[in-house]
Amino acid sequence: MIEKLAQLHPEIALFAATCIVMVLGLAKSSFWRGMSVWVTGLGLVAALVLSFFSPQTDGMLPNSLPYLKAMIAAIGLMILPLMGGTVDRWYERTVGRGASFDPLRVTRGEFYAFYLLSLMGVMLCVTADDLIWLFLALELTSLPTYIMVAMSTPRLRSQEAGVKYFFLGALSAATFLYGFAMLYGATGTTQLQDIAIHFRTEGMGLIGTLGLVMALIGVSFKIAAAPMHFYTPDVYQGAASPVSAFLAFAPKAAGFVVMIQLLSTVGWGWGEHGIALPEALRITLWVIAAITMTFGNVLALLQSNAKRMLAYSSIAHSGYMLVGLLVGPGQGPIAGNGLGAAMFYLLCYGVMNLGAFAVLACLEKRDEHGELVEIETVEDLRGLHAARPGLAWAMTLCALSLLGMPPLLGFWGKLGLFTSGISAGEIGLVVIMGLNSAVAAFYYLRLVRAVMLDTRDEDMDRPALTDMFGRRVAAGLSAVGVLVVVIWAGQLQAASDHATEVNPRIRQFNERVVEAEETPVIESIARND
Amino acid sequence: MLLSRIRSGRRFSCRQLFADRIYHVTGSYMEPTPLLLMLLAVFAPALTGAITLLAPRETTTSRTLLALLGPLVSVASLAMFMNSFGVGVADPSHVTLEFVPSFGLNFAFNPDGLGLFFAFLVSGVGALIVLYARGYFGPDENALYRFYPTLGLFATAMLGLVLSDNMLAMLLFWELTSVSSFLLIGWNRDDRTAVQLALQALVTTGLGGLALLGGVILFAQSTGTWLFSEATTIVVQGADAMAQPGLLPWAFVLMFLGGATKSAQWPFHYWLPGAMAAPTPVSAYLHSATMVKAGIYLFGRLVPAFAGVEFWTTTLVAFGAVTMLLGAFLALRSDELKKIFAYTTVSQLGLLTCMYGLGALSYHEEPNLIWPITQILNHALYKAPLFLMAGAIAHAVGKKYLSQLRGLVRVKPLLAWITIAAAYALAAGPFTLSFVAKEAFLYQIYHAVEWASWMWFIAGAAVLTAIFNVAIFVRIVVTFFRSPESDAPPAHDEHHAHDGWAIWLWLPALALVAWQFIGGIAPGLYERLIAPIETHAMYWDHLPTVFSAAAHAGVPLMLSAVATALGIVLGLSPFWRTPVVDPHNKIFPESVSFLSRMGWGIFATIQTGNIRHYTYLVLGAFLLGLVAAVLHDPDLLNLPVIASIWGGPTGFILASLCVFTLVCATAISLPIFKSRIVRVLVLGACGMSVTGLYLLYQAPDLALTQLLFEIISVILFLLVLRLLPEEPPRVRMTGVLGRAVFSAIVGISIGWIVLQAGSHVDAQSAPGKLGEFFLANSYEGSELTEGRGGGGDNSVNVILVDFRGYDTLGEITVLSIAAMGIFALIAAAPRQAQDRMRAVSQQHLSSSLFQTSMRLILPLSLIFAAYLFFKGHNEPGGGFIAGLVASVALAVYRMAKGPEALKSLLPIKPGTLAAAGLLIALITAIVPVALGYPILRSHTGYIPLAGSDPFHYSTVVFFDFGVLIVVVAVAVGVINRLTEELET
Repeated sequence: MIEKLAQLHPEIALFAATCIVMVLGLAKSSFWRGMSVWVTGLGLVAALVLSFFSPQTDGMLPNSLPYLKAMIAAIGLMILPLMGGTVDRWYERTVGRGASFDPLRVTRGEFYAFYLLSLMGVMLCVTADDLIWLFLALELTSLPTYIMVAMSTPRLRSQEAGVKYFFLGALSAATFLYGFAMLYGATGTTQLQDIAIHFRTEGMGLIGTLGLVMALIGVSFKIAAAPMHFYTPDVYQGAASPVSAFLAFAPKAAGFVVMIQLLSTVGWGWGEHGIALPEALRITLWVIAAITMTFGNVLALLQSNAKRMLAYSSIAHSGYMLVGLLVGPGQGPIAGNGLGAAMFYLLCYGVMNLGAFAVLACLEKRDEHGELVEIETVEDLRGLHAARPGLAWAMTLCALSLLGMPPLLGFWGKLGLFTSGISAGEIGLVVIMGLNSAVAAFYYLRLVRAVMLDTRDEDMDRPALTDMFGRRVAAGLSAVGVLVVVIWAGQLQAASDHATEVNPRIRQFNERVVEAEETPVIESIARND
Repeated sequence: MLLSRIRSGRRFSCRQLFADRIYHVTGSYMEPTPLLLMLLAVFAPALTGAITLLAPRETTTSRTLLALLGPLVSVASLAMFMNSFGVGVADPSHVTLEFVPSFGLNFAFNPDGLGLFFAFLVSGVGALIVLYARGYFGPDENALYRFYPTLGLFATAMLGLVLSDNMLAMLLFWELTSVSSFLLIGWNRDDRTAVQLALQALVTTGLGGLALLGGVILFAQSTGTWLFSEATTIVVQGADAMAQPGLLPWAFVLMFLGGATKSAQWPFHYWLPGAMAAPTPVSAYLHSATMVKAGIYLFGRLVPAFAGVEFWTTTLVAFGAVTMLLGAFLALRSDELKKIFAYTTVSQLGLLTCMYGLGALSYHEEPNLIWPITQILNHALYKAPLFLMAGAIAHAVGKKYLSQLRGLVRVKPLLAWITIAAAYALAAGPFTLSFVAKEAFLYQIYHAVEWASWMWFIAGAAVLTAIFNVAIFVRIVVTFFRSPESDAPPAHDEHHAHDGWAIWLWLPALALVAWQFIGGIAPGLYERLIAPIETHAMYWDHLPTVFSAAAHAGVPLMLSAVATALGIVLGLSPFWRTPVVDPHNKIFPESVSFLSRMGWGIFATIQTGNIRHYTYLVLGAFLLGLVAAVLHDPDLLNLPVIASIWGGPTGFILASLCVFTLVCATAISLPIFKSRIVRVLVLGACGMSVTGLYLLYQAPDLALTQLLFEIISVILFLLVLRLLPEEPPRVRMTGVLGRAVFSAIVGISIGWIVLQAGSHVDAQSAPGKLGEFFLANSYEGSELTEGRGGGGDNSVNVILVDFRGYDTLGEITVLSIAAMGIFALIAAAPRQAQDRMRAVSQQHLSSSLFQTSMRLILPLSLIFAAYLFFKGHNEPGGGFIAGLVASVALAVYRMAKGPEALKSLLPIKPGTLAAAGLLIALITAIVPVALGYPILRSHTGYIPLAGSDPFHYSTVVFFDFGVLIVVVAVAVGVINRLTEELET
């Protein structure tokens, strides 16, 4: 009990902050209401610090807690300044002008509470060692985001996005729950470890395979991968940019962690050389990865709306990361761990994607009703260099990094994925990935071209800089991160590799099966707690 | 990046820091000088370029001098390698700075002949370009302010590219050159075409860079090292030394693609003439002298490693020859000076590719390479001057087309003569280095003919190319010497002031082209300089100048002579004078539009924004998975074992069929009914049929709960329905049948697979164990429960209040909170809805029979609830069910008597009531802790009663009572809120 609690310290910190934030958000004094964002930040800092002291677990990925949780908390901290002022901005102004305060009309407390709860859900996905726990953690990640989308702007479009997101989310939950049920049916247990041992002693079986495939398809909603990716552009466009930036990270992180947990129950010890997933899963993931990245990139190419473009690119990036999952912990003289590469890429993606959204969130223009709204189109970004060189550079760096241009952060992420893919012999997929990266160049460079090279026509009105300082901070953090984190790229990659080592107990188990195929030995290990 | 590596708390010296990083092949530490020098050589241009940004904007002289310093420092540092450390991969100069070791990325440098030569070329020409740019842009401080840093960045990238031994580091610099080229081509930001062309160049070379990345990874994978030098050694040692020899050909293919895009080989050559949108200094530097040769450099670097790959020669020679011929032809058919020179550059790059292709063959057990460095250098020595002069001419007379330049010799004699001298080298006339290079190349082909006779075609292509080049030279000369169209001197393009720097418009070109003639006329001096870095000078001790060629006249000399003669004829003839447009220029725009057309196609079909279509796609994918599974294992279509009910007694079978029919019939009929009220009732019927299912499977508690729950939800539904606005007329939907069929298929498939999965569980029999455990321990307890049972016979109730008491505590808390949420939400409803509620809540059912019967029914129901509550521990019932019964009774009472009745009956506010219930449960849970027991521990015992069985009691009854209170409070609260007059 106490040992289990030690694994949950970061989550507990977040939960405590959540409770405080909810109350603070309703405070009568605007000072205390304003404190809610600081308490959110404090909670995240506490979670970040506590993450580093997370113990080893006995789950599928025993070393995963410190790296993954610290990553989640760190990216959460980076997104937080961007979140500032997303909700309640106009209402707070009217209150500031002397209107009476109505606690029913403020949503700030809930907004940050949902933010924290969602991040907590991602962390719980990391800690989970049971199917039911996984399900609850995944839903805890997603449910708050549905509401965050709907409340992020007062416009009807956000509400439509929220509802759409919710319905498709429910469909995905049903799908992976269905998969979980079949896994339980096939193995008779919900404990991931026991499932793993069952798979290794008795084989996958058709129901087990089907269950895993269904679960993967369901979870692909969270990472915005085919065939559950359709919502992404509609929702990202409908939500306010800060929330879109968050959507591109938190559910994605949760989805990938859950996928890794699920896949490690079967392990990568199958196939001809004993380094691949079982054929059915391999083909499923292969197809999902290929379709996801191609679909995302080709459609991103068409968008004139920068937010939709980034949404499609978010789909494409999920496709890249799936390559790492397909490869697994891999072996080879040079190439490394595909899981580690994917988790490192997730970190890179979190940093660089934030900047792109942050630049959009920093700029505002008047819509047809004369209200200030965040800019969305590439057209709005044209000639940014002349007006706001700092933001233009932030956008350039982030876009180039997303494209994978050396020496920026994105390149190092992609390098790991490429090498691991090749090391596992997935040449076909790596070629598709390479072609996709080339396609991606077209639209990322369009962003760069718009901000750096294009000039603004005289008759166009200039987007105004938002008065929310936090958003500029977020853009700056991301741009600096893209450059500076590279220095620690090696260490981070190593940490990520370490974090994604599959439980040696189960691994050893796998080897025994390959060696001897004797059940008694296996059972003795299974019972050896 | 270095600073980050300094561990805190440790004093360090910079020198020590560098020394630490130096990796010596022998493993010992050494003086840091070579590494420092190397870093200085590579990074000096970028550094000084960046420093120029700090200079005040209006200074131009110091800016220029500062920018000049970078390349000069590079040249000086590189010269040190020639003198002090020697050329080549010899140990002392092999220097490494660790950067990201875990990726295999270190800044390892290898100043061998090839690398040093390119480095000299880059820094030397770079210095001249800095000066030329000052003359070209004039004292335009804005242009120079932007130009020098970018140029410095490029120079550093290029130096890094050619000096890196580590493949990843090289790749890094490689991409940097693409980026700086992009920035320079799109120099004129108001020119949309230029920006488009910059993008075209970046995407094309970037795509190649990606291929190169793949190739590098494969190469490293196959050899097991990231260093060019080591990898080459490993490959040369043969397949045994390699990790995965099979990958080598693929590595070659990908790396060739990388080199071919960068060095503008057919069919990727289209970007290079497009890149001429850049200012002339850039064209001269990047797009003729240095960057476009990166691919050639790569081929030169890889020749030793890939000589064993059979199709190296075929590929390089074929692509090179096509490029060579096509480029020369297009150059002849162009009119714009920069275009002419761009296409001859393409042609020359093809020739150099060919050269390295032939170099993989062996001739007398030596590589078939003759003075390769000289062949590369030759091109830079005449092409850069040609570009520089094109810029100078455009600058001086404002004309860019050759046909406009008649009589230039008279107008601007100096510019014209330097151009003619450089063009003479382009034509490879005798007494130039170019002649030497062409001889060497022809000899290489001549040697290769022994290997394959189709090499004669290559010889033919080379001769044709030479003819075109000579013709271009002849046309330039003739044009320059013809009398001008008008006698008026051409107006000077006065777009900026002239100053003393104007001589730098022509001086760099002269400095470069002079070497052409020094090499051609006085080879001794040239050889002395080039010999240490020339890689394959073994056939002749001396350059094959015109003298030695004449002395050893052979086929190559004969071919030269033929080419010259025919070239002069072609140059003077009127043929092939009209310009043509290269059809390859369409490749890039066409592929962009193809991709976007394809994308729009997908977009229109899939991304409709309609959530129903998304659902179809998801479920369709889902069904595909199921179909695949069934195809894999047809057993899935057999009826699973436990799904069969036929084994049971007849009554059971009949009852099951009835319940099954009821559930299905009610569920299916749900969408058929149109009225809301009927739908609610049918939904209730469906739920109550499910109750039958629970009864059949012997779960009385569950059945009771389900039943009561259905009742209360129907009542609540009815209460809410009254508040809704009038039902809108239904829109007739289209495609209902198709949707119904699809839904049916999905539903049946999902259900079927659940049955299959369920039958698997049966084999595991795990859930059975759980059931048995609770049954066995609910009263008595066993070893597993530390000898303590729940003291009740109804295991469901015991689970609720004892085994999972914690959960129950949590659940009632959540229930209370949810109720508060409902209260708040309804209170916050829009005013319009509140008005409607108020209107509706005034009505109540006024049937007197109903009202009268309620007087009887309410007490009876409450007594029944109390009965269920007290029986609950041993028989079906318990606090939750009792609470539901009471709630139902109260709800019906409210319907009959109107809003005030419930309030007078239950004067406490529901919120307070819920809190009280929670409190009771909490106290029951905590009291054992105060007494030293675990939380929620209950006490059971018997009170002896006279004349009857002893009375069994248990303290959990208080806990259960708390549950009851909460349930009632929540139900009453919700009912009140939904129906009562709301406070304004």
